[in-house]
Amino acid sequence: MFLSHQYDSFWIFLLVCISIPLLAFSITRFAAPPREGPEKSTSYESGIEPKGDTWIRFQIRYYMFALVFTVFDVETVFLYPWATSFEELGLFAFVEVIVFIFILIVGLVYAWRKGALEWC
Amino acid sequence: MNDINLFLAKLTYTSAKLTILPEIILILGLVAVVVIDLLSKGKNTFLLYKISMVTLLASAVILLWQWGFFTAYERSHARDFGNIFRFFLLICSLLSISSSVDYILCSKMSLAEFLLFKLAAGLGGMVLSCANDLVTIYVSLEFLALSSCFLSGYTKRDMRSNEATMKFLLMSGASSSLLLYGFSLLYGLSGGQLQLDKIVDGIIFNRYGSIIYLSAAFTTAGTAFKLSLFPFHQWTPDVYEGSPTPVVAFFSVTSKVAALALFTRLFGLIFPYFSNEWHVAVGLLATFSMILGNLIAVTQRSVKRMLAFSSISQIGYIMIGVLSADSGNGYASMITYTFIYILMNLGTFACITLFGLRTGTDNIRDYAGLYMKDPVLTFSLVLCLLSLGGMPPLSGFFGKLYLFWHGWKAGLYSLVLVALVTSVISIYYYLKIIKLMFTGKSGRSDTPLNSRQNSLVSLSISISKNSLEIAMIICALASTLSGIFIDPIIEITRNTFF
Repeated sequence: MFLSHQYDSFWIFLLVCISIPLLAFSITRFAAPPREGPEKSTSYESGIEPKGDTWIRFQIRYYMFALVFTVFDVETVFLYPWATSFEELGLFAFVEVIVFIFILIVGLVYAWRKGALEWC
Repeated sequence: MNDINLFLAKLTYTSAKLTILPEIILILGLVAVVVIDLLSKGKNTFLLYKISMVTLLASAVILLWQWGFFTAYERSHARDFGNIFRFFLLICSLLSISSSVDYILCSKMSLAEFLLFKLAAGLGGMVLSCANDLVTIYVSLEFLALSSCFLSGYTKRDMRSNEATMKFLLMSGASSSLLLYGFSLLYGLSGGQLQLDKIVDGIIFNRYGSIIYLSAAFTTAGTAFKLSLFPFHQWTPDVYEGSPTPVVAFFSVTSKVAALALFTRLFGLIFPYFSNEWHVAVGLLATFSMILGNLIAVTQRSVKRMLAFSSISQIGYIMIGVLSADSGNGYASMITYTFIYILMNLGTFACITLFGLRTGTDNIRDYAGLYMKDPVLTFSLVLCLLSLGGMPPLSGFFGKLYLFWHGWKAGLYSLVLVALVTSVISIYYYLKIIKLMFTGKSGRSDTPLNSRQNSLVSLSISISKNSLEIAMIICALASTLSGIFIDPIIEITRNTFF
């Protein structure tokens, strides 16, 4: 299946793709002077001095907020295509979207009442 | 007056036409459970329980009514198949919810989310068993798997439960990805068709032989994870051991039944052209699951672990029914045995839940001398276990007999022989528990029994405790008596072949 000639350009593209990261890693080994130090092996954190271990625990609330954010996010993603062709889809799609939003709002109210939106 | 009659007739017709009405009712029930829980701030637990039971019952009634309505006009075998499995899933949810409310209330966890996840999982399974579209199949499968996963981690302070959730999540993710590879190959080969029947039309079987094999292999692996067939069964015992007992009861039947429906539909519809090859492959998987499931179950010390291995072997038996389908009987033997399996398994787990609630343990050793303490519990457990093992007067025997006879007629001699030998082995470890319950001396389990019972009395939730016992007795009776009524069941299930 992959042996026909129309795939030739694909194979060349694949070779180039694979070789670029390999080249990038090997060139630095030849070109850069090897100078090991304690400063060099620390992790880079946007210019801020890194403190403590990298394996720290994050607050669970970040994830809670991310989850609640997904409710809105998914809602928007699904509403866009509907909104652009609102005229053609008509009343039925409108009712469908209302059902969809209703279920998401129930989820949001649930998260809110259970205290997922409070920081402490 | 005439107008009203006309309107009623129209309403009846549209609601009968709306085939997802049972699912819509379940969704409404879900929303109602959430809203009422929010309004009453988690106090009105009994109302939530009642709402979910009523929702499930209404859904089942409407499903049956629609089914009768349609069989009067036209008969579609694919729809029959889907309806039977949807009905099975509703029965599973009903029985398992009624047998788990007591456990949840006793361990002081919130009931609303538990009911929510159970209803959601049942809903996912129902959609899955009548889905005719690759995307719908995948989404509903994930729906089911995620809900079961949350359920298995429901006791979140328990380390083993957390471990079980993690394992379940990773394993179901891996299996879903395998399934997705298979689906994507099918989608590509059929020229971009998503519906199952159109895929069958779109695939040119001679041209893409090897790739179709690849796709079938991926799909088999993905569904075998869900069914816990032999090489993909490793997650089952750990998840069963770690999760809370009523949850195990739930997903030992629900996810199995839904995955079985998926497996049968996918392979019955899409891959019938090279049925010889996949029959051999699935036959091998079934043989190994029967042998290993039964042999490893003999050595287990925990009842839940033992039942996990026994469920692996039961899936092996059910696979015989899938393989021996013919156009005369369809999947009758498989569906009949699945029905009996649901009842037997839920009954066994209800007994174990009750025992676990009273004593707080699930070691086989602690079952010693149970007969002296609680004869009713002992008697139902004996009935369910013997039925699982396939002792003659009970329904498990008739189910197995029909299954094996069917397999023998279809020419699966080696499979049936293996199944017979391994059933004998399985009777050994079921009888071991029964012997312990009647003859063993109870020494050490006295203290936890009293402490747990005191907490039960102090909570004074006699209503839901009754529900657990009622569910247990219903399951035990049904798994005893449905052997007598096996003829009508077979008659209903006979016409299910695509």
